[in-house]
Amino acid sequence: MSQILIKKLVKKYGQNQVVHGIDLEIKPKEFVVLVGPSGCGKSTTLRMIAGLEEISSGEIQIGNKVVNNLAPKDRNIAMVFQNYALYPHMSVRENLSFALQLQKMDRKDIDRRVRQAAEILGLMDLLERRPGQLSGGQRQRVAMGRAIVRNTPVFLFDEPLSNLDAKLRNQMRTEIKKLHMRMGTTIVYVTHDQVEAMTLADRIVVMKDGYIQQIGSPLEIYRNPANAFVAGFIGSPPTNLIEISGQIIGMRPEHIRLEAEGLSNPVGYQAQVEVLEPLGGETLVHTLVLNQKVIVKCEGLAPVRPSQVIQIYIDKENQRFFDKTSGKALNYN
Amino acid sequence: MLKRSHYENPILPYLLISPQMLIVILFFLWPAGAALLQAFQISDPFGQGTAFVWFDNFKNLFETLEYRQSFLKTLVFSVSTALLSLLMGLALAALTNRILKIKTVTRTLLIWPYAVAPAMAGMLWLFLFHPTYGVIGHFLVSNGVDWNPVLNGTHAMVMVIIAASWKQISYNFVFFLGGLQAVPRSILEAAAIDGAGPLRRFFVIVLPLLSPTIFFLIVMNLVYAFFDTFGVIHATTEGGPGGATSTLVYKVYSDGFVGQDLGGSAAQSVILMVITVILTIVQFKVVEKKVHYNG
Ligand SMILES: Nc1ncnc2c1ncn2[C@@H]1O[C@H](COP(=O)(O)OP(=O)(O)OP(=O)(O)O)[C@@H](O)[C@H]1O
Ligand SMILES: [Mg+2]
Repeated sequence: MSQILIKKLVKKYGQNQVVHGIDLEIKPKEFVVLVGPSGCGKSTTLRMIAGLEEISSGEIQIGNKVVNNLAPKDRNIAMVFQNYALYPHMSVRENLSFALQLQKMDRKDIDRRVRQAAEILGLMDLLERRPGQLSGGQRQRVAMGRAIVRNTPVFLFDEPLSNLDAKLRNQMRTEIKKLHMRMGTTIVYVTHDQVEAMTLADRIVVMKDGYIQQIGSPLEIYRNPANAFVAGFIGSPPTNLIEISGQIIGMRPEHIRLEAEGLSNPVGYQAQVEVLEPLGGETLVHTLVLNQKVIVKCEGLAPVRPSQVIQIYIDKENQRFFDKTSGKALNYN
Repeated sequence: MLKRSHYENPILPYLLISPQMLIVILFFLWPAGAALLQAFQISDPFGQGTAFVWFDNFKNLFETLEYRQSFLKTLVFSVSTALLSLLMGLALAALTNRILKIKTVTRTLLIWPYAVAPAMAGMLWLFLFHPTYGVIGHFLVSNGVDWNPVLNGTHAMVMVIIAASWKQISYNFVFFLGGLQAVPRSILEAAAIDGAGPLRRFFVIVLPLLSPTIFFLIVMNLVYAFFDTFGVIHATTEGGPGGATSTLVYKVYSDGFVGQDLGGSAAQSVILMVITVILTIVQFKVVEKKVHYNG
């Protein structure tokens, strides 16, 4: 049983193919995050699921029904847009009830649903305001409210948090997670922020240039990236990738130490310190190993100075190896 | 606050705007002032003498049935012209907006009528609508319609309205297209997902978002129909038949230059001036206050 099933999905704009036959199965109540660099086709894929973009070839099923030729309104989905896309001439209440009114729902039921959603999102006092009179975070809530009132089995999010400042973004991220636990809807969520992907997803789909690179739980993807691209994309800071004797070695900054003690099976590299970035609780030490950038994440203050030559150590089993030409992981354990 | 520019020579800025000021004074302030003065005088047709008569000219005007009827005709003409050209402009813009990449050539062609001189536009429509040698007129007549704008006042009015609004369609089109393209695509997409079909999206989302543009255009079109249609009327009907298409602005000309009633004509132009001022004030008040959305 799957909620959304995508088979060999292709999108072409004229001669330019931007999504190259991707396959993806999403289970009911699953929170799936599509993540990847700008222009990799995340939004396009999401918009094809929503019915806002025509499918060039392949098939999309929602709730075991092929929806290729269905209008957006007939796909039983709700969507939250990056710029919120609120109706500027309508009050918050009207924004929230618009879809329900179109369904010819009872006035009373509409009021009840709107109130429920507004309570969940803390919008009760703002119902009579226009979007122009709301802060960014409040608009974001209204946008989510518009999805919630519809009570559809599938929610689609396209970078819903990218217009918020960092603090609000963290706060809304938690709220989205809570919302998902509470409502139990299937969510497809697009972002280029890998922290969002790691924290929200049941499963992450990493995309690049219109291809899926890897599908897996956040931990799987963190521990066993399928290729050098995924390794270099996930994590903050992401995995250090350096080339040594024809192989690419991936080392996570948090796995690297400045001394060998405490490691069961240490490997050492000579490194030259470039810059220190103290973050309070931890310090990022930017170094060069064989003239290639390696970032080391140390707890507390790092006892090193710029331009100092030091030894850095990593446990052997924490290293990942990738083929130099294909980028594929070699010791997939 | 606007930033003040500084010039080393204090006279230079005044010198720079003097040509523009000269034009304004020569072609606007002076004639307007003269009209104002004349409105309170009567002059004999040969320009031999004038007499100051206070409000007699105005009183005479409102006492003549012809002038009061002309007011009504102007209202019918202006509202119909504005409505027709707004609807056509909006329809064209909505259709054009659906085409993703409209060719520049096509767009330019759609704007063309605006550049046609009013007299030419008038002639063009007369040639089309004339009962004997006009294509449309001939078609109507041969299909049993008793069409004759040369003799029938109502027909003449219809023809003038069509000719006058045709010229204004392009202007409306440009503004409507701009307004339509400013409607964020995602809002329409959100509405589509919410279950609104294309027609409902247009009426419930697009039109309200266009309302500032619509209001601006209503005022502009009324101003155009009131004051800027002399050329079209002169070329098609010369205010006839029997004064059927003699709008206020046309009467200013016909009473003044043809009828030689300079005082009465000046009084009429003062009344028109007052109407413009009122329209402009209304426009600014409403634009300031209501029809304005942000984000
Ligand atoms: N309407 C369009 N016409 C032509 N090409 C398009 C169109 N929309 C998107 N593309 C192209 O398709 C590719 C994928 O775009 P998409 O918007 O899906 O990227 P994305 O992964 O969402 O990126 P971002 O993180 O920047 O939003 C890009 O190369 C883009 O240039
Ligand atoms: Mg995108």
